[in-house]
Amino acid sequence: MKPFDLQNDPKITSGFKTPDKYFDTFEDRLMQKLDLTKQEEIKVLSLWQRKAFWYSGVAAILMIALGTWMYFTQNSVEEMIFPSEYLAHESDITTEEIAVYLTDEDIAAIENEMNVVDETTETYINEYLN
Amino acid sequence: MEDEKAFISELLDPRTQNEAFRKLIRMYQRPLYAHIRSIVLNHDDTDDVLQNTFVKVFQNLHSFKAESKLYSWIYRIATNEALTFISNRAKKAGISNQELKEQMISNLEADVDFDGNAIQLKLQQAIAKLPEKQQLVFKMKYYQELKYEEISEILETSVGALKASYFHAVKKVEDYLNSH
Repeated sequence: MKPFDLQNDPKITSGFKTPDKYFDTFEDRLMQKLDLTKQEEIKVLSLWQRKAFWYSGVAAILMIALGTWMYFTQNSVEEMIFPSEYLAHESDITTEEIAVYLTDEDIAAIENEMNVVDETTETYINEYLN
Repeated sequence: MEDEKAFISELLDPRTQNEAFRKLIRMYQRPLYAHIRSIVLNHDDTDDVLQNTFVKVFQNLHSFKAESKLYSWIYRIATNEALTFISNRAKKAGISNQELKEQMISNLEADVDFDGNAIQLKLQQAIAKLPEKQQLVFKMKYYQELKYEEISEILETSVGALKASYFHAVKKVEDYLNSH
């Protein structure tokens, strides 16, 4: 028997055949399948959207709770003693000691300010700071 | 290339998409069927894989990069779908891809959609003995008569490597046919 020579011998075909009218109906069958696939994708999307709705609801509640908590805790700040009040009422630091840390210009500026203070402030200064 | 750009735009535009996709099916159904059938061998499985291929093409059209040609992109999807189908079926059966292919070839004799003679069947057996890449190259070149440049774009392999691969495949197939 003559040896096989695939490059030069007549082509050996695959021997596969397709059922009658397979390609005549394939296009319509595939388009139907695509429609189904699209519908499934929409369902999956709407389920996700429903989930997203609940997630955003939970997130909103958490934000409100956090906001409320922060609002009430913020009020307690008023109870804090500010450094200026502390220096005025609680501290043993004298005016001279503070003056060491100020420049001549600072002191001059303060003196100018003190010249325009009203009587109530003047009384306050006399009573508490001196 | 300009025509292809316009065609891709039609495929992406919701107003023209359906008609353009029908055109794409008519253009590619026969060559893709032949390509997939040469890998999965059985008609019903080919039908499943072919439908899945077109569904994947449709779903991924928006991510198609114009760097490659449309036909090579579609062929690549079809090749991957067919090879994945074989791997999944082999895994399910708990056997190797090679063993599955040999089983599929022995089933061909009883297949109503195969009217091959003894030589055609022997050629299938010879091809099944080749390494996977050589099988693909041989089928695309010998049965589908694709050009090396086309196969190169589809399999993303150099033309030189493909020529060498085909040359080795032909030698092995001839040896098998002459010795069995």
